[in-house]
Amino acid sequence: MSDMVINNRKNGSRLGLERFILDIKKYRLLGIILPVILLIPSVIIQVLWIRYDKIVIKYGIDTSLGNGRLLDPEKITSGERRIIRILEYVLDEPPLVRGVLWAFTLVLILLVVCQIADMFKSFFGSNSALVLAAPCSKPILFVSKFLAASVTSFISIWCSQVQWVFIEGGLKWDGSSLNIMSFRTFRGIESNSDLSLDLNWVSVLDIFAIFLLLWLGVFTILAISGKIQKAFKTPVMVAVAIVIAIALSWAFVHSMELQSEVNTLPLLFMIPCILFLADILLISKYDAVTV
Amino acid sequence: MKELVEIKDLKRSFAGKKALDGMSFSLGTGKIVGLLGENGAGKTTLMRVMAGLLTKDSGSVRIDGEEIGAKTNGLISYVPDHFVFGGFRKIGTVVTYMKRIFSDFDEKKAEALLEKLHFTKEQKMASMSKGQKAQVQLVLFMSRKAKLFLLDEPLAAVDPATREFIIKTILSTFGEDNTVLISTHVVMDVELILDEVIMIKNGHVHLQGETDELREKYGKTINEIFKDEFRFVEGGSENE
Amino acid sequence: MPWAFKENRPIFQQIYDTIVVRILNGTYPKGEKLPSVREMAEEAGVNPNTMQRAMSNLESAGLAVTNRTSGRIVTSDEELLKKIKKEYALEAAKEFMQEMQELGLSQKDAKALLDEAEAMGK
Repeated sequence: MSDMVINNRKNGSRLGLERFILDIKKYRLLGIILPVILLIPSVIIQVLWIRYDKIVIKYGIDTSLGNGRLLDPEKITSGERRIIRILEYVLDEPPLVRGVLWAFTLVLILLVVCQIADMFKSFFGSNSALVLAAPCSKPILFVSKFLAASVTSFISIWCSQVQWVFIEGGLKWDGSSLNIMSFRTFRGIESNSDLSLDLNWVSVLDIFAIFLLLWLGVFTILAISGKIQKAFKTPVMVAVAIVIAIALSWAFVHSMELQSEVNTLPLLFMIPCILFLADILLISKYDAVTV
Repeated sequence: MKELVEIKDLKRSFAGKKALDGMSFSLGTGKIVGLLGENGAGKTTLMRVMAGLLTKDSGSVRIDGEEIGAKTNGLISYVPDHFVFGGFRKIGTVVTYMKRIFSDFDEKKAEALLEKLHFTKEQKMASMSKGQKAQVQLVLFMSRKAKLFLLDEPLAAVDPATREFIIKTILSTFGEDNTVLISTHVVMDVELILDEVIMIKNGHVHLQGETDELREKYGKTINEIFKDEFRFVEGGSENE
Repeated sequence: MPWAFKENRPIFQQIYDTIVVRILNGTYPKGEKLPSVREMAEEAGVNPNTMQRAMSNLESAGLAVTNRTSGRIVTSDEELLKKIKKEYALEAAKEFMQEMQELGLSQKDAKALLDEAEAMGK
């Protein structure tokens, strides 16, 4: 008997893992591939910065003088001149920066929309009869999906943060080693700006925390509509519940934003609590809906 | 002896409307059973409760002695009346999915049956007709070595050739160690393959018995018994 | 003779009758192996349990014998086959005569009708 229990538990966690891998695969384009591709512009810029520094060292250019500071323009090759021009003049033009940032925002929004849509399709939509037929408990299925969504959104957010820092600032090459913490703004002027602080885990976690809050919203939606569903088997009531839940979670996120600082750690601790709550409210005792 | 399915006084309502109103019956192993009833009699609700997709309000449902849950999901293969593989692109992807999620999935059997129907693994779901989708879905769910198959209206809205294939697939899957429960409101299609019938009405069992015994007792086909029972006791229900 | 189920009699009896007719007309030759229950059930589109029941009746009637090594064999008992053929033929004849009677035909007319029908069939 106890062997059977252990087998079931093993089977449950194995299926949870399968579910997790399937979902990671499902989200791989928006959650992993596109964010990594979007890192390319900032990588190219870093390479350019390093070449720029080499040129500066080679000709002994005094970069503190600002524009038109080249000592002997005649000696500089056209290739080197192009790099200097790009970094000191062209990069200042915002289209590239703005374009990449917009692309990232779009990818993140699409990712969240896809994840939430998938959650609904799996637990309430036409797919539910397949997803929920898996011989493992509903909380395991749900947590696996949640983890897959968290991992992919974390990767996506992290990439966007890294990109944010490296597209606006640059690494400094001092001739012998790379100094990661030394940044400069456009036009090659070194600065002691706060940019370096942005390459800190905290900034990633802040945004990630907002994502988790969005998920709290999703849990709320599922919980409320699951409860309502028990009483009213009408799509309209579910729709109403969804609207209410979205409004609630939006208000929650908004109030968090209003506070000057979001404390990430307690939010992270909230995850197990949320899962526990979701389980009690809904996961192990709710109806799948076919509309 | 422990029955495969034991349902006692099962109740479930939606917004005050009683979908299952004190349903009780039990089923043994090695049988093809027809769950007959008009639309709205509670057939789908019953199957969804058994498959763990709906919760019950009260009563008890036991499959192989177990309460509905992860364990019974492993024993039951539920074939819904709608297409559930919509999120997949190719047949091959679904086969892989089934193999990963259901440890009792017989890949060879599924592939053989799909080949019989001239389907390839590369075939796209979107390119299939409704009848083809129904066939693929049935083949995939019937390729599990489940103890209990729940088929919700498998013969609704399919052409006669598909109907014949579905009947043959059911017959070839069925064996001594499993039970197939088929819900339908068109009795004629399945009359010949049923061991037993359960007629349900207004959320409870109206009549249950062995097919041949009922035919002898009433001197009519099950189809005729079904029509009579539902016409006389509840006038006009066949118009639904 | 195709599988056809129209009457209200239990299906296993109708299956039984169809198999008997097939044995009598040589579709299943005497002394030869019968298809398995599963094969026959699938061919007829009926429940294997029902087919099994018909087969058991076939055995009780002595028309089939189960052999441990080669499965279910059609009997080679000529006497028995003759007897059963007569029974079935007689039953069909009785039915025919009764129908004719219902139509108001005399026995003589009915017999004459048989010759006529045979001539037409040619």
